Amino acid sequence: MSSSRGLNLTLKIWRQPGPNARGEFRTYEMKNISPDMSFLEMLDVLNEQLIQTSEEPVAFDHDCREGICGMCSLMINGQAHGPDRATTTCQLHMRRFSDGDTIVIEPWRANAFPVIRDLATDRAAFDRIITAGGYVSVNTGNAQDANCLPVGRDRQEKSMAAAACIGCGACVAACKNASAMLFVSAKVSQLALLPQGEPERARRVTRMVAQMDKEGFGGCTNTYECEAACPAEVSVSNIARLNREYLRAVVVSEEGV
Amino acid sequence: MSSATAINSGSSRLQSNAPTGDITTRWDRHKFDLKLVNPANKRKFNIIVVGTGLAGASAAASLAELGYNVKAFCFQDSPRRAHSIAAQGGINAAKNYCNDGDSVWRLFYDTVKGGDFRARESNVYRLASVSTNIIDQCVAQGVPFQRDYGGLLANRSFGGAQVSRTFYARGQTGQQLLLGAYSALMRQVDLGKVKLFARREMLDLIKVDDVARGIVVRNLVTGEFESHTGDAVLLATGGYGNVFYLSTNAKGCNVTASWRCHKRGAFFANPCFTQIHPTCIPVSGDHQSKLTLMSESLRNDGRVWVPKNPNDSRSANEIPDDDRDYFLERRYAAFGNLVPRDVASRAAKKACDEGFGVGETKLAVYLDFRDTIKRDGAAVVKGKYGNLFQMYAKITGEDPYSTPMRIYPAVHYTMGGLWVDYNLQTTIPGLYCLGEANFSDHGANRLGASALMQGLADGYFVIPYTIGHHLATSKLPKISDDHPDVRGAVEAAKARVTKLLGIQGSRSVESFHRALGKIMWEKCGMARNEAGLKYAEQEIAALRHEFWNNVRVMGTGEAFNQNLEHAGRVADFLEFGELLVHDALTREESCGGHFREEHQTEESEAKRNDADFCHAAAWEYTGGHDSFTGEKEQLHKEPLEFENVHLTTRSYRE
Amino acid sequence: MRWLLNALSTSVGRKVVLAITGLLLCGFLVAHLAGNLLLYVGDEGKSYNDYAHALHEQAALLAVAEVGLFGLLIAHIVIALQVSAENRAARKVGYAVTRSKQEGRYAAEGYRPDTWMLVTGILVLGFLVLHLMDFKMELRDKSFYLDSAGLDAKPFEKAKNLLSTSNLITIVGYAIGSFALLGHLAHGFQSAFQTLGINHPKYTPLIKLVGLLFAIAIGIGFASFPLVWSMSH
Repeated sequence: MSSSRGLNLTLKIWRQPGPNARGEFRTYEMKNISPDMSFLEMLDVLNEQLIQTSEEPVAFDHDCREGICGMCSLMINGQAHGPDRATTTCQLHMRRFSDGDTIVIEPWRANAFPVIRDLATDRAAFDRIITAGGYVSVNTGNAQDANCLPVGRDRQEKSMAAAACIGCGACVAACKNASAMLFVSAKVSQLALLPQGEPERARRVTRMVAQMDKEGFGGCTNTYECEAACPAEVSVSNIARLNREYLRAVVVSEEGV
Repeated sequence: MSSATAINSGSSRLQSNAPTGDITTRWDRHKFDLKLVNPANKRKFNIIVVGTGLAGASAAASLAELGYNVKAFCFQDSPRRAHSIAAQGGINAAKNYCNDGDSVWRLFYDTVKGGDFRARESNVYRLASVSTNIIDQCVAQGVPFQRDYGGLLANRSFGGAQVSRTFYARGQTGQQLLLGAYSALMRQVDLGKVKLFARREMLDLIKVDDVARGIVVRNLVTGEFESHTGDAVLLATGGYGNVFYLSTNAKGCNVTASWRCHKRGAFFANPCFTQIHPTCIPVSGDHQSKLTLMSESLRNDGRVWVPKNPNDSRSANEIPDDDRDYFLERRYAAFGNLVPRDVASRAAKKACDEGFGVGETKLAVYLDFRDTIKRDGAAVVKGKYGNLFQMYAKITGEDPYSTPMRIYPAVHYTMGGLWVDYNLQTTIPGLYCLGEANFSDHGANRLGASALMQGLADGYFVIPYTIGHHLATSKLPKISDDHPDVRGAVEAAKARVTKLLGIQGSRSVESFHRALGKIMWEKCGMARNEAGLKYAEQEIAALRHEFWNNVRVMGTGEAFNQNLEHAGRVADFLEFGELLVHDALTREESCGGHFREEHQTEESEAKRNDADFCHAAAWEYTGGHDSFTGEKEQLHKEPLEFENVHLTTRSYRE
Repeated sequence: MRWLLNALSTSVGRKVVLAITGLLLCGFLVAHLAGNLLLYVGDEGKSYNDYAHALHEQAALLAVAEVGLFGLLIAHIVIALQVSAENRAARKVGYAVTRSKQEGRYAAEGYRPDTWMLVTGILVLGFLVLHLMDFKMELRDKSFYLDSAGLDAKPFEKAKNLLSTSNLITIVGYAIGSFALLGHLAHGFQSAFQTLGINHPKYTPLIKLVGLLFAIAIGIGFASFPLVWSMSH
């Protein structure tokens, strides 16, 4: 890292000691940050500095740091996962910023994602939505040969495109209504497109939507901010499919009678 | 060296319980011999599963389906975050859908040979034979594997295999398999058979009458200590690659659960068998926090080379073919760029050590798609590898379509782990170990697309059969939370956290971890030698002593405290690292991922020593391994017999 | 029928009701605009008066239509307000900074119709109330409803009086209301299709285009009465 390339930055970070504590923005000056660093590595550097000055490091969720586990988050200058599309915060690099920039970093905001500490939030609501029906009821051992049911390639690819969801919650964070529709629709679509998902279609969508509402997410008003923020590029056409599945469950099936 | 006297050949403590006779029927016969638990009694048993990756989630779901009550634990915020999710390339299965000569026997053979004859034959054969069921199971769950236009499953050749047996879902196979297992797990949560405990870190094992009966966890949100008791404990806590600090593992991956069990009596086998993956994005600076792997499927079309002139200052594209050394193709005519991971990694290291490395750091080689792009067009390459190219561009800021990628090996997978018998039971009765956390199936080197296979085999198709035997044949009286052994374990875990917080030194946890990683990588990485390993033992011991005197852990124990979590993990790595190094020192041969410079052929290839080292080295904790005090762990050996795949020198030259 | 109530009371169900009522109200807008366009026929209001007369002849049908429209409208408004309130409440603690990630949206931050549905909806509602006061209930100044002879004016005459430049409340109110309607429809029309599950790579671009053209036609069409027609009469 040559010092001439280093960036000097001002960070405004949301600090909140606990779930029920009051939070506030605190400002930190960062000197000589390498443009080759990832955004989270830049926060690592900050935390090392904080430890040296006996301030508690900033809490933020992260794990794989290669864009797939969905654990990292952060609202960076008002954008979920920062300015790049199709990118998680861990894959965002500092070369995207300029010397002298001020960067505002906030946690995901939604009633359904309460803050645990600083920038870390609780996204267990997503798990509970999957628990309500995001699966195929098949016990281990009773599967038939994998090639028994052909699946057209376009269906498989559409299913995969929906299944690519990493469950990070950026859709909720970016939505003005804090709606979880893109997340829910991704799982509903993945399984609705496959013959394996067919038997439970109506029950699945009905229960998952009910759970989504129960968690306190907002509704979808088709502003599509979710799609733009999604690091896995899950399409809003899945939301239409969820709506379709839902109507089908209401009108055609005997589910919910 | 005191360990010489500690060697205990063919230890009676290590009963593999593997059946004998015809290998093709061993598993069937064994399943028949195992005692069953009556269906009505299953609901009386409580099973604790630690870790929710492929092995843990599949085990928890399958056991709950059988009727057992399961408690599942993970340190992440959701089971879906487990690092199995990052596996890219695919999963092997001997389906022979491609009609290209594959079979269970061939997969078995390839895996034993690929593991450089350091795995247990019985386990490997079982793995190969259940591989086909895994694909069926995953497809039934709705895993959207790649298909051909006719709607049937597509396969590709992968990781040096000469048949196409790898099933894949884009470059996100691990993600899709994990989400499949996760969905099966969440279904059981819905049915009330699994209780999920996320953001819990296992800090100790509870043993009562020498049988594993529970765990102590810390609730990472509130800092509270919880004890959970049951009738069996399953560890599916992944590998220990982060002992090297920089690895392709997730930041949270750690050895803590395994290590604490080791300290309670579970033997640790072959810790020195670590896999270095050849195609990773090179380190860019001191800030580097992890390394990113790019699927080795890239080697199907990319050609690996370095300039013939080490001081060549031209840019990669300006160097003509005559001035390039395609060293893998040159040295390994038969396999070329597709040699197994350990071979490819060492070749790259050798090129860089000899000064031929490229890039600013000189610690990289080129992986070049020029010829493929010329032959098939950029669109085809984009179709196959688009997401990987995009990832590379994102991280490095370079366009791999127009400039060759720079790659360098990085720590990726650990073949070593807790020693387990054929039933996946550790040396502690009632404690089982699954997936990467155990040592059993990959020997000294894992083949590509086999980790996913093993994790799911253990969870879906092995443990549901074998655990019943323990439950049916053991006396397991109910344990209350105030049992002295439970309280003792909780107090020990608390005391350790209190101690960490009380040191109040001046050096950060992170800096200790980096320092440990540097020692490990330099002295116990891709190539190892006696002097270096002895030096590393001393260095690690010194670092550990400094840690316990001078570490600065911020915050309190009664809150969400990531610094404290990290401190606990690094503390364990500092103990474990020394054992790893000691194991490497003790194993006086080169095999698979373990390369001792003293033991190589004239062509610089690994030279195995089957006469003295055809065994699994299982270490017993006897009070701590410490180069300062001279304390050693006790070595036990499980001899490995190769009746079906005969011991040969692994060669990929012709 | 409890299942139907249950199904339509979820977040998705309520949006479906919103979409269906919205689309039906769009149908009303087309019919209403078509009738009003008769004002432009250069026959001193004969066509328009005949149309109005014919319409009012169908007293029974008209009553049913009015009740139906009123029902649609109430359902649309009540659900919209409820949904908006809930959506707002889903994020109690807001962001200090927000910025769109949609392409081309950055410059127009905050001016896209989809984020202003509540505001445009309320403006349209105001427009509607004023319009009903003007024409339906005849609550404005009596002189608007009388012809030069002091008798009850014909519909065309009433329109001329109400939309005279001196009646600024109506002129400005209708102009604002019409443009608000344009904005409301610009998002609402195509959004309704998405909500009803109609999203297809072949047709969605068409639906979006039609929605935009529809919004412009309806919005400009209604705006033309206070802004163009009134000036020429």
